[in-house]
Amino acid sequence: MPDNDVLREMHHQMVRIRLFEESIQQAYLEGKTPAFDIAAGPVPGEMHLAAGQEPVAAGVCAHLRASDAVTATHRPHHIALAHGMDMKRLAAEIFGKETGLGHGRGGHMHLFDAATNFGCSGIVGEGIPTAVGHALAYKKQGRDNVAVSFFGEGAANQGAFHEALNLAALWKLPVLFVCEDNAWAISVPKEKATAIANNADRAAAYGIPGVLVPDNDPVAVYEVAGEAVARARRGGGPSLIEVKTDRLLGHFEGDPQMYRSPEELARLKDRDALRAFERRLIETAVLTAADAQATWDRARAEVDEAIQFARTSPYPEPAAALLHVFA
Amino acid sequence: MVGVGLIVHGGASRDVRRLTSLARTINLHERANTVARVLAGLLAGGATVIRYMPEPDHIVERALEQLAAVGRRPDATVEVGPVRLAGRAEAGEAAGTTAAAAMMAAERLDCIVTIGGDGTNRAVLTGWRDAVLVPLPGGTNNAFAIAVDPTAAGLAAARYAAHAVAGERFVRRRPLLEITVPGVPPTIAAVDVAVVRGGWVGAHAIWDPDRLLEAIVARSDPTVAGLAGVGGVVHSLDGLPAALHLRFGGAGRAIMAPLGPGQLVPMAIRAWTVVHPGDVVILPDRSDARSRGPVTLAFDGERELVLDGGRTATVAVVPDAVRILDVAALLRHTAAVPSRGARAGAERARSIRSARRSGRRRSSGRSLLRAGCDPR
Repeated sequence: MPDNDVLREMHHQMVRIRLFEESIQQAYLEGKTPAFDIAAGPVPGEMHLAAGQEPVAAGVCAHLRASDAVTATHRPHHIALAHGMDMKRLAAEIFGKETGLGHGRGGHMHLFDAATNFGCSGIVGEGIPTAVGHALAYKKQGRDNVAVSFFGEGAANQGAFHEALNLAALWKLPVLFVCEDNAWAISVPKEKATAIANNADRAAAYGIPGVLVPDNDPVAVYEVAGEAVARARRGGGPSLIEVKTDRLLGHFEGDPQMYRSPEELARLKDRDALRAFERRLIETAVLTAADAQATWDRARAEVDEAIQFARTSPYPEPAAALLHVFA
Repeated sequence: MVGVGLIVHGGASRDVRRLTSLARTINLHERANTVARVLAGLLAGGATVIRYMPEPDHIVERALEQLAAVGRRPDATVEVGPVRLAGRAEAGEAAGTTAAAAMMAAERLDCIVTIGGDGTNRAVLTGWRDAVLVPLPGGTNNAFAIAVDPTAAGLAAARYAAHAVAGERFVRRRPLLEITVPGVPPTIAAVDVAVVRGGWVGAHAIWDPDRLLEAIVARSDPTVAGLAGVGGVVHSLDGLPAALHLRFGGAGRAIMAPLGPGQLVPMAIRAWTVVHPGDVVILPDRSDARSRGPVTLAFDGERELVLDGGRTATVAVVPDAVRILDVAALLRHTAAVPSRGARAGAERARSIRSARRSGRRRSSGRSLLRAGCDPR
């Protein structure tokens, strides 16, 4: 069970993630109407936001060091922020500015941060074998670091998932596979794509432990991830954790979500994990209402500063177009 | 109607104890196989209505496929189908299990075969307190379940439902724990109530002995893992309709406690008492300094209810509340005298085999897809 300091820190992470996602959503929609033109406005391209999935990021990343590698997906902001990525450089990259993590070349789905050993990709399932590579390096170097791969329930049907788990199990690598099951692979519901109901069960096929966290709750995730990370650090090998989480927004911004019923969307809003967690923290006197408000205010200031930094940063120079794009 | 309910739950072995202890994993194929073997017994015993709880893993449907693959699919005289879950109970969650059990009661089924952990059985009893259960092991600790072959379990359940034997003669009774907390609907536990230090439900399971403050166990059996096993190491209740109240910590008697599968940990027992029907125990013991802050009550191995602000719970033992079918005794009694249903079944099987040998009947290899199952 996390102590009060950890509980407060997880709350802080979840709040700043939520405010960041909401602010990026607003900035993204600027200039894109009347016809929805994704090239228009200050944030061009697609946008995939993780509001609702904060508990997974907060609960897992609470156990990680900056030197632990993390790989993620097209929906990466919550994990990047929880793992310690600089919010200004993240925002600037999303806005395509020179001051961004990738000098504006990568965009919101291709965030690479050497300081926190973070990488992500829009290719479904890409990060899963990559994390195994990080873990192999740690093992060869005799380090007690762990690698964590975050992916969705749709990616768990990719061949790369199965190959990665097999190799990680075979070589007993310090890697955590964290499946964020938000029930929708874009617009495909899980029961139409996956032969079984729980990806946690797939771990048995590779001889590794698989744990299901059925509640979108940062404390539950924290407890399970803590055991898995400790196990990996002491040489116990890989694990698979599946968390049933909630994607509060569409697959992409601009997604009309015709495939989701109004009842489902209303239910999601009612069970917003961030609000529920905050209520519990106040009920148990871990936070006062004033503390909670102060956290929101602090996060608001941080997010506003990051967005402002992104807006006012320069674009890359056209003459530098071929820099940083070849290894 | 010879009606039997079937509640099987895939979620019974996916929790954090896969990481913290040597808890087993039961894959879907094996679960479906257990169900298939139960169904074989139910059909041989003459069940005519088999209602099962719908759940996301479709375990019973998988079991029916396994039966079909060996030519044993139930024929048209047997109704096999899911109960309808009322309201918004989600299949696959405890509320769904409770709703399914309540529906089975409403449909006047005679008994329920369950394959799950202690939590699954608790959810069943919450929905239908008077159910006659045939609880097969399918969870992490399985203190509540009985260890019998699944087909024997199915056969006994069908014979019980067919009233082939005089009703209550083979129903054994066990005590239940009733827990009351002000402002919360009363609840039950079939195996144990534990007090865990800290005010968070978190990952539900209990695995840290340092956080365990007290427990009341309705079953004490040193051959099982979990708090019932811990109780069994301290004092055997030996079938008494009573419970054991254990207080942990301090400089008490040291025991090796079977807290979980493969997890024997040294624990100190400060004190223990037998709780008889009519006694009321208040949890937590707030005179213990460790219990002064928030604590969480765990029912049958799952943290569920936070007690903060000084709130307490009262626990009472209800004797003879839980009804478990004595499979062994029933089958020994009926072995000499096969039921009408079984005789008819045997005759039908003989006639099918003879028809196949003489080429009048092909084996039934109809795929379930053609039989109208949703290909999902």
